[in-house]
Amino acid sequence: MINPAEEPVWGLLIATYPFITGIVAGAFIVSALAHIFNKRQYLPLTGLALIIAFSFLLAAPIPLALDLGRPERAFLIYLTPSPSSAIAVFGYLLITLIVLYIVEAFFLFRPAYAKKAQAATIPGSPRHLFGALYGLLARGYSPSSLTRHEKAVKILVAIGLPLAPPFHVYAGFLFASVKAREMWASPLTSIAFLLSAIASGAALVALIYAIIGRKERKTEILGSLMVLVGWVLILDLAFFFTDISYLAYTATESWSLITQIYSGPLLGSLIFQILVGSAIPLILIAIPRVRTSTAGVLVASLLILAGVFAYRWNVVIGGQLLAKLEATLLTYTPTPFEIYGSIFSVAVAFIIVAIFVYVVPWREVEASYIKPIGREAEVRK
Amino acid sequence: MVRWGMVIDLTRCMGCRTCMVACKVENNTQEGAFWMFVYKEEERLPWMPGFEPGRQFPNANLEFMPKPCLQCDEPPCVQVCPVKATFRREDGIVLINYDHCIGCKYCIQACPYASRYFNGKSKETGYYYNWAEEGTNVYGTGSVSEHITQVPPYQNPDHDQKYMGRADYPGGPTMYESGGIAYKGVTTKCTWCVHRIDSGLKKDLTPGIDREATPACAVACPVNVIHFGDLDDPESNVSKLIASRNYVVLKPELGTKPRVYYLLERGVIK
Repeated sequence: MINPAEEPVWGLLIATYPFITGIVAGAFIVSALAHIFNKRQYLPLTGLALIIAFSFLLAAPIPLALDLGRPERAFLIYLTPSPSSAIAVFGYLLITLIVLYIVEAFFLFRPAYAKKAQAATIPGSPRHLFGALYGLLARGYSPSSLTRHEKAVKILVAIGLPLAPPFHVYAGFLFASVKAREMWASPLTSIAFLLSAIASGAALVALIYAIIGRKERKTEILGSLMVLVGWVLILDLAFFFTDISYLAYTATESWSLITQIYSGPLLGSLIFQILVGSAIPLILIAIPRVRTSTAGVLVASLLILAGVFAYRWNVVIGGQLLAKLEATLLTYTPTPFEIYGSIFSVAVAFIIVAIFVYVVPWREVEASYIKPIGREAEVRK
Repeated sequence: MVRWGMVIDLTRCMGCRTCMVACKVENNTQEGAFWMFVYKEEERLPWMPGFEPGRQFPNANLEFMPKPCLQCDEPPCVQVCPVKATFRREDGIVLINYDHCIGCKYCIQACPYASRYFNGKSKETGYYYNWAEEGTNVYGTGSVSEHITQVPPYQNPDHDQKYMGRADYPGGPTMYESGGIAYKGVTTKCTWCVHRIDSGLKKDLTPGIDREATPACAVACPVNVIHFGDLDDPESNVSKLIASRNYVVLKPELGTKPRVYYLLERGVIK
C-alpha cells in the first residue's frame, strides 16, 4: 500500500495557472519594447499587448481559486502576511500589478481617448458608442500634456518591467524552491519558466495582432516579433537541455525512476513540448515568408502556446509523479471539474481581451504618440 | 525548555500496524489519511533503485518503518504556508490552525516526508466515525461498514480543546491555535497527540512515561518500538536511547532537522 500522502494534489488547474501568468509576463514585455527599449517599430503593439497582459492578469486567480480547499479565505494572504511563501508573494504582486496596469493604461490610452472624443464632437460624425466614456476619461487632457503622458508611461513601464518578469519567475521559483521534490528543485526551472513565458506571451500578441491588426505594416511588425520569439525559444530549449543533461550525467538515485516517468506517462507531452511546441515553430519562424504571413504566424503561435502548456503540464504534474519516500511512480488523471475549470479560466481571459479590444482605442496609440525620428521632435495633435 | 522528540526502534518493528490503527481511532482521521504510516520495504526487483542481488529470495527480508510527522526544527511546511496557518510551537510541535488554512496544499508539496494529508471530504462522508451521532449507530457513517451495531466510540474528551501556538507571532497567541476536528478543505497532519500531551501536563503527568499523556501510537505499540520524551532532559528515555545507540534521521541533507530518530542497530553501541 502506498502512503496516500504521496498522491499528486496539484492538478490541471495548477498547470493552467503558470500558463496564464506566463502570458502576462510575456505580453507586458512586448508592450514595454516600444517605450523602454525605444523600438518604435513595436508601437502599434503597445496598447494591444497591455490589454492582453491585463486581461490575463485578471484571469490568473481563477484556476487558483477553483483549486483552493477554502477559497473564501484567500484574502487571509493579505491579513496575515507570510512573505516567506511564494504563494503569498503572488497575492502581493497581483495587487501591485493590477494597480500598475490600470494606471499605465490610463496614461497610455488617454491621448487616444482625447482624439476619439474630439472626433465625436465634429458635427455629422457617427455617434460612437463609447463617446461619452472617452470624453470622461480624456477630461482635462490637452495636446500639450502629451509629453507628460508619455513620460508617465515610461516611468510606469520602468516600474512595471522589473515586476512583470518576477511575477512569473517567482511562479517558477514556487516549484524550484521545493527541495522535497527532486524533479522541481533546480535553479534552472525559474529561468526556463520565464523564457517560455516570454515566448508564449509574445506568441499570443503576434497571434491576435495577425488576426486584427492593420494591414499596412503588419508583415514588418509580425516578422520582427516572431524573430524575437524565435530567439527566446532557442534560449528556452538550451535551458531545458542543460537541465536534462545534468540529471542524466549525474544520475543520482532517482534518475532511473525519472527516466521511467519521461518515457512513460510524460512521453507524449514531452515530445509535444520539444518537437511540436519548439522545434517546428522555430523552423517556421526561420522562413521569412512564413513568419510574416498571417497564416504562418497563426500556426507557429498556436503551436508555441500549446507547447508551453505542455511544458507547464510536464513540470507541475510530472514532478509529482515521483514519490518522496518510496521508489515508486504515481499516476494522475484530471477530473472533469479541473478540465472545465481550466478551459473556463482561459476562456474568461480571452473574453476580457475581446471586450477591451472593442472598447479601448488601442489602434490609435501609435498615431497619438508618434513623433518623427530626427532632431526636431514635433508633437502632433 | 521542553523539546519533544520521538525515537523509533526499527530493530523491533514487526509491521503489525497497530500504531496506525490507534492513531486513526484517537484522532478520527478521515478516509485515506494516515497520520502515522508504516512503510514496508520488500526485496527490490532488478529495475528498482537500491536493487541488491544478495537480497533476492531466499535471502529476502521485510523491513518496516513507522513514520509520523517528524516535527522538524526547520519545517519547510511552515516556511511555505501563505497565511501562516501552520506554525511551530516552542516545544517543537508543528500544528495547523484549521480555521485559518485556505487549502492551497503547498505544505503538502513542501513536506519531504509525505506527512501531510488534504481533507477533501466532509465530516459526514469521509471520517472514520461521526461523533455527532453519539449513541446511535455511529459506525454506520464514514468508512466503517454498516453491520457493526451500536457501540459508543471512544472519543478523547481533550480532542476539541484549543491548544496554543506561539505568542510571538503577529496576531498573537489566539491566531495560532489548533485543535478540534478538521473539516473539509484544509490540510491535516500528525500532532504527536498534542491534546494528550497538553492535558497530561496539566495533570502533572509525564509525556512518554504516563500513558495518558503519550501519543497514541507509542502507547498502542505491542513491542515498544516508539518512544517519546523530552530531548532536553538528559535523563529521559529518548535522550538515553539516542546517547547509547546509533541513530539516523530521514533525509538529513535537506536541512529540516527532524525530531524523530530511527534506531537501526540492536544493543548499546557507545
